[in-house]
Amino acid sequence: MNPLPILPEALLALGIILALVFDAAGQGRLAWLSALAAVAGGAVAALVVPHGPVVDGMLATDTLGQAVRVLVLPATFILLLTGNSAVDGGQRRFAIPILAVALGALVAGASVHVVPLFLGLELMSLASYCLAAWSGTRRNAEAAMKYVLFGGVASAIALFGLGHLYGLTGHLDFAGIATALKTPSVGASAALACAGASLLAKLAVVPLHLYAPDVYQGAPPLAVTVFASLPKIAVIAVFGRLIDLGIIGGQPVLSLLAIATIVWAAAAALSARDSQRILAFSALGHAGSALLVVSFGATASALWYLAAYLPSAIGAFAVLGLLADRTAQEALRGSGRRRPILAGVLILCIVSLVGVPPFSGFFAKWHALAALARTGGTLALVGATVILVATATTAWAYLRIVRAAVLEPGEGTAVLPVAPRSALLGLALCVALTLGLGLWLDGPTALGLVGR
Amino acid sequence: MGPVSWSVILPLLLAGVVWLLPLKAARWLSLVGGLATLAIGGWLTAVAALHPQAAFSHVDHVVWSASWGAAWLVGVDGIGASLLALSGLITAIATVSAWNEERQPRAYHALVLILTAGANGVFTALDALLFYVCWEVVLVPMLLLIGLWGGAQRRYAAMKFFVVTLAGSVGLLLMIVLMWARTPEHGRPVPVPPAVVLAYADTDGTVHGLTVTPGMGDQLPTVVIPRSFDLRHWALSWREWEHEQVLGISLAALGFAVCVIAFAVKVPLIPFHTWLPHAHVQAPTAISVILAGVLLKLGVYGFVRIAWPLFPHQAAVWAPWLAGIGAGGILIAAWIALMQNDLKRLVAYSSVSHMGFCLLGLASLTVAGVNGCVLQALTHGVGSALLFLLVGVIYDRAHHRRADGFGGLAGPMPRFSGVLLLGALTGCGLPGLAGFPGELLATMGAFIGGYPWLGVAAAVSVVISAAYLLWMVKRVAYGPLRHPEQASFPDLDTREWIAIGPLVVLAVVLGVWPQPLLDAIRPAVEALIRHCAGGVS
Repeated sequence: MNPLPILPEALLALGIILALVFDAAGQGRLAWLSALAAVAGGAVAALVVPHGPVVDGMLATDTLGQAVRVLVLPATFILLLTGNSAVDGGQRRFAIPILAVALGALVAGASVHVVPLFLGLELMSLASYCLAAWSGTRRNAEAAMKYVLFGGVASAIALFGLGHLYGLTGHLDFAGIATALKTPSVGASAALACAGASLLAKLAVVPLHLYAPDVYQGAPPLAVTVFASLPKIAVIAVFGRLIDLGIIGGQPVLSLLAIATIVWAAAAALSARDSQRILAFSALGHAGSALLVVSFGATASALWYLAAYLPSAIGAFAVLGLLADRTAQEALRGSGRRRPILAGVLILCIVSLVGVPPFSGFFAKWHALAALARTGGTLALVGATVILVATATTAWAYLRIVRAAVLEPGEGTAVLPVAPRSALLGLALCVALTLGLGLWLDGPTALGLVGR
Repeated sequence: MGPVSWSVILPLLLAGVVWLLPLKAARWLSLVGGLATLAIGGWLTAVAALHPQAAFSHVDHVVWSASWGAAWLVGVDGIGASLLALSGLITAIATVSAWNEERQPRAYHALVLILTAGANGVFTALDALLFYVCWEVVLVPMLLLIGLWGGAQRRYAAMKFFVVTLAGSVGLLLMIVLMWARTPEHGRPVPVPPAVVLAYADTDGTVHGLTVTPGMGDQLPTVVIPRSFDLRHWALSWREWEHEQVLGISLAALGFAVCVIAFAVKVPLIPFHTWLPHAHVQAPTAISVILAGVLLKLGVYGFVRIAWPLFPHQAAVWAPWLAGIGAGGILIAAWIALMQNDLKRLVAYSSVSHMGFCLLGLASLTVAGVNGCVLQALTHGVGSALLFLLVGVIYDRAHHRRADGFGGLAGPMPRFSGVLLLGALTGCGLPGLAGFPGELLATMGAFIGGYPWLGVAAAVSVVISAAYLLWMVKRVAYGPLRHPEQASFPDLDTREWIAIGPLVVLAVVLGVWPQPLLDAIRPAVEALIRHCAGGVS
């Protein structure tokens, strides 16, 4: 077995170990730097190492796995940079759970076998639980507790379903399951539904969405940024693979659930007043849109949708963390006036999330709509209309953040957090990607996947 | 990169350069941007007037994505060129009006430049995706310009403007995506009437870049339309949009509906106008001028460039309703203006009223009517910009805009009062001033097109507009001086004359001699009417 194809994942694992060692030795900065180096090395390795099945055919570093790497690793790099703006006052050990989430995402995205899929999802979940409780406040603890309980039950049901699937089909690899499921049966459908619970819960798709608002609001901003980015990429890729193999059918169930998620996120965002809550609902709505696109088999467009909107989302969270120490509207009020450049970045990121051209958030929507229009069919067009109506309604919610930070008078919080250079570098990367990534219309085809 | 592309790119570049220069230099860059646009647009209009042709000229085509068929495709005909000139003129005048802006001048002028670039892009874009991008680009600068530099309720006005306009245009995005996706990947052969070939054939025999295959026998010549966003190609394949079905209705019906909604919000047409009074009243004077002078014309241009050419059959079917909405809007907005005490609100509703003439003329589907529509758009830009500037002048002095808070200003400010009367008479549509030709042609179009009662209603509205405008002038300028502290108000100073002067001159010149503008726009208008006539059958 040739181990080279999983060098990126191996580097991430090495990075986790190094970071743990350095952190135990009290060298927080070295821990963070080793995490950065691991991610950078992994990104370089992903571009040069050969492809092929590894680990007894459990992981397939094919184009889909490669696409996940291309999205997850740069996102992790930016998250490590911008993460310095918040949380743990210089300890930097937040890099460890972020690396773990990234590793889980890569493993889950590349898996063609039930075992690494479950392992990857669980790794992402466990590291996410840690991140949710990161700042140690009561709110964080409550959010983390809800997350653990809900996620734990979802994982248990998923394991239950996967076990049944093994019992029914006798296979643990996706190809074998796909062949065995050619003859549909009620038992298999029930098992698949249970197995999908973990995936749907990670995306916070209706009806497994109830934990998300409280968890996303209670967790520290860095954690929410991680939740909104890395696991979504992995889960969308997994859905793409499963639909492509024919194990689950995208329509109509998955499409309808996605539409329901978009509608719910848009409606809930309208009543939210806290900026973090508004951005959290935005992330959930975007995840729903990506799921809608992938449910019609357009995996490349769905992943590009995430790639194009993530710089704006990460940038928005990061800037909010730099403008105020709390995300409540009163804390934010007028804080942009003392920091006009950061205010400009906030406006750019929020406007991109609304979907105003020529920023990347608009082109994300563009590719999603184009994929839905290409598919045709009533459900696809209904979904496209829902996405557009949600765009219009959530604009009001998003603008509340801009209004509080930039348009309202006030002094903001009395003491502004200091902006470390690494966070500013991360923000600069987010801004550059928001401005330029969307203009590359051939992005989805460049991801090289079938089902544009 | 021809002059048309530069009219869009130069303001963007200047908006970037603004940040590198000292604070006082920012307004000069904004002025340069406006004057450059005026020069380019004016020259192109002159070319269009002297060498009339229906086809687009000075077309720039730079491929953006070959697989999508998207391109930087810009060009002008007479309509686009004259609107471009208007955009440049209004921007330059607005910059002069805001010359002494002290609060964050660099940000202010950079945003104005981006706004100009977006408007210029809309007036010149021939690629649907580029059109949509430029259409939406205008939103963010307006949000910030009104929200940061505006009046007491600026935040609400800015957010309402943003969300309502965005909500109106999302349908447009769906239409563009669908029309792109419903074109087969390898292109679609479409029959083209010989008259169209004759009108639009280039020197190498191609029509809009497409090779024409002659028809066998008495069959029409065909072109193969590739999958792209070229608006000219989409106009040629208008019959296809009638046949394509989307959720049970034809793509043309859906497209026309979303176009009407999107452009009706911008024009604005009643009942989609509710954002406008807030936006106008709360915006600073210069931004009100740009909003009234340029941004409202984006909506009219959208009707003329997209809704009517792409969906001529739908336009013919819905024309009576739209003409009714246009005429209704004229009357209702005029009636509301009659009740206003806030001068800026009065002028804002007068703007809504005058834009109704545009839709009335357009929906009449006659040469006179459509000529009137475009001419009214151009002259209204001049007239309402003038009125907003004048309201800004007395607001600068008195710090309020209540009509009953003035009186007898003709004493201390005689020249101002004279110009105010001129502006009011222009708004009334007095023959000899700029307001008359457009309204006359639009009303004639209504009569010729078969809507005599709507024409009567439009003509009657002139009485109402005379009522509110002249009453406004009476309350402000004539009679005894009601507030003694206003006796010391200075008359118009040099900067204000520089801003108002060109508009005064144009208000008279365009009223007496609108012929050059009509010469420029007529070929395009006639081509549009011929195209739409095919849609009636």
